[in-house]
Amino acid sequence: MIKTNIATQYSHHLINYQLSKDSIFIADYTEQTKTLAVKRGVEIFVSTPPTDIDFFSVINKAPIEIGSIIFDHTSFVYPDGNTRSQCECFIFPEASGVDSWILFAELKYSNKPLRNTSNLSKAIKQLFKTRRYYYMNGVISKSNTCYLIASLPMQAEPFANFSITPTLMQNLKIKLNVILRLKNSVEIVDDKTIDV
Amino acid sequence: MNTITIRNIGPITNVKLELNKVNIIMGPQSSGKSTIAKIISYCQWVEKRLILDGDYKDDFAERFMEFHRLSDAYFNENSFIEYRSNSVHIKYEGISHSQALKKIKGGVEYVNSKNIYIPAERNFVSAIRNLRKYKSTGNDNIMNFVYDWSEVRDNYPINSKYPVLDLKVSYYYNQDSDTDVLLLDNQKEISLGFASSGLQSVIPMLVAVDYMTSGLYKTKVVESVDEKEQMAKVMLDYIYQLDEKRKDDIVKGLSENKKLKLSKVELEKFIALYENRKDYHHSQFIIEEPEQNLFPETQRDLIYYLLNKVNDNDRDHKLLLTTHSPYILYALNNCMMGYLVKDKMPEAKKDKLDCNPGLINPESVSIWQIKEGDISKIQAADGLIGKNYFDENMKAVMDDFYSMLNYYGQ
Repeated sequence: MIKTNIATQYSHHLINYQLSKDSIFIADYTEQTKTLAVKRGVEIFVSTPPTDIDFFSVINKAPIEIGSIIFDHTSFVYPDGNTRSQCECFIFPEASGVDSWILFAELKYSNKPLRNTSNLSKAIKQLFKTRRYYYMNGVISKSNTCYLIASLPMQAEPFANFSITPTLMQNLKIKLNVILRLKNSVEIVDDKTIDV
Repeated sequence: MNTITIRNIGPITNVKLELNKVNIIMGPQSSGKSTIAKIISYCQWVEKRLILDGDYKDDFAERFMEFHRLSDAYFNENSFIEYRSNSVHIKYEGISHSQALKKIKGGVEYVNSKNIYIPAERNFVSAIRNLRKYKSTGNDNIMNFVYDWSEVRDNYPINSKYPVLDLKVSYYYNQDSDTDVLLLDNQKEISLGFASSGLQSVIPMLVAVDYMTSGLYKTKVVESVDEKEQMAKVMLDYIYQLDEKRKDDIVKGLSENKKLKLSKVELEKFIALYENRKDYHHSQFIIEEPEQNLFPETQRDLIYYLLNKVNDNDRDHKLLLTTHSPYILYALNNCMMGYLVKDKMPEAKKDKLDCNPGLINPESVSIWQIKEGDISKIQAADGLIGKNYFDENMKAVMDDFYSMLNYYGQ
């Protein structure tokens, strides 16, 4: 259902669509390769994580078939062609229904805890904005439990200098059916729930 | 810095600390925070007695357990305590049940301090009426605080009442009725014994700290007979050791009531030796769980106040706290952060900081956490707080919360 909606509203997102029944690992090589001749961006690794970079993990112990989309600078654009603020990727159960989970992830490669406040604040904004693009165009609805995950792959949890109050999270869940967490890995339980 | 090493006592497996100006020990229930604080307090007390009285004859472990109300189950054959300062070296080894108490350089570098242990049970002094009439058969750390409190509160009559933080209440002691009184914002008065648990806990602590960082230093120290005799001996020892060749002449000269010639440097050292011992020069506070019964905002203000008091430019006061409050930890972190950025902040902004009165150099602060008997420092390279298990505990609480959040709102 979600894939159909994406095909209707954002068909170009499906160009790099990946399907997997294994765990997947997401890494962003942008910074690491920016001075190299061959530049790389966000990549998804299936079943085996990369060995040359820190990563965000989606552990698929269920296992269920999951689809994943990497966003790039052409994914969400203004009428003038400039790129909108967006997160790194979107993941959902292949056999998605009206109450399936969906997951948006944003990675920030920083090993400086003192910068966590600004990095994570920015990541959260990107996550909410990307969710809103999909929501406003009918790709997803409030009945899909939406996991917004900000990851700092180079740091161990809990990430220093940033916290989200239980009250805020309760409000996000009640009003938007959103679960926001700062994590480097999550585990799929079934097509409706992710352990964060 | 003074150092303390503790092994195999109570829940402590192996702890070695260098004692800074401000020391914070964090840990879960029964992890050994108070055990460490009590041992440090006791070693400071033994140091003082050894230097000022000349000797310490009590059984080290026995007296420690009696004073700090600890069971002998805390000690075993592998128990070990070692305390080193510039004046003494104290060592206790359980395996041989031996104690070694040694003065360093005869203790000439010792500077007299007022030491006070403020126990977790401090609200006892607030809750008991007619405290002056309270008699105990023993002298333990609670009774010792009762005696200290009795000395302190005499200095706070109504015309010298003490404003308690920002809580819109002032404290004074009515000596005639032997009552601790709170004067409220509406000018009504209540006895401290009828006040909230938070006020009963915080007021004895604050008033004691206030007195021992200001009023105490305006009073004359009364020495005991032992202290006077020891002082005389130390002064003479100093003179004798000035010059071995002159020693016989000095002894002869003193016995014949002749004048003694000292160089300017020798005289200055002689006077310093006397003054360092005779009067209190600074206070050393050990406070158990200052956050007891206090709202987070009050915990924060308390830390700012305590740091302000110990940061006296004229005196090298010292502070050791045991805590399991994240509010205490993060308020302290604010004070250290403020110190690091104070020269970069616009004055107007700095003046608005709540933590401004308590700014402290992170180099003067050591923060440890105890886990399973061992201790580790939790500060980053610049002295600010690093990873700590308040953050880890919060994560554990949130893990539970998140597992339920999936089902919330459905």
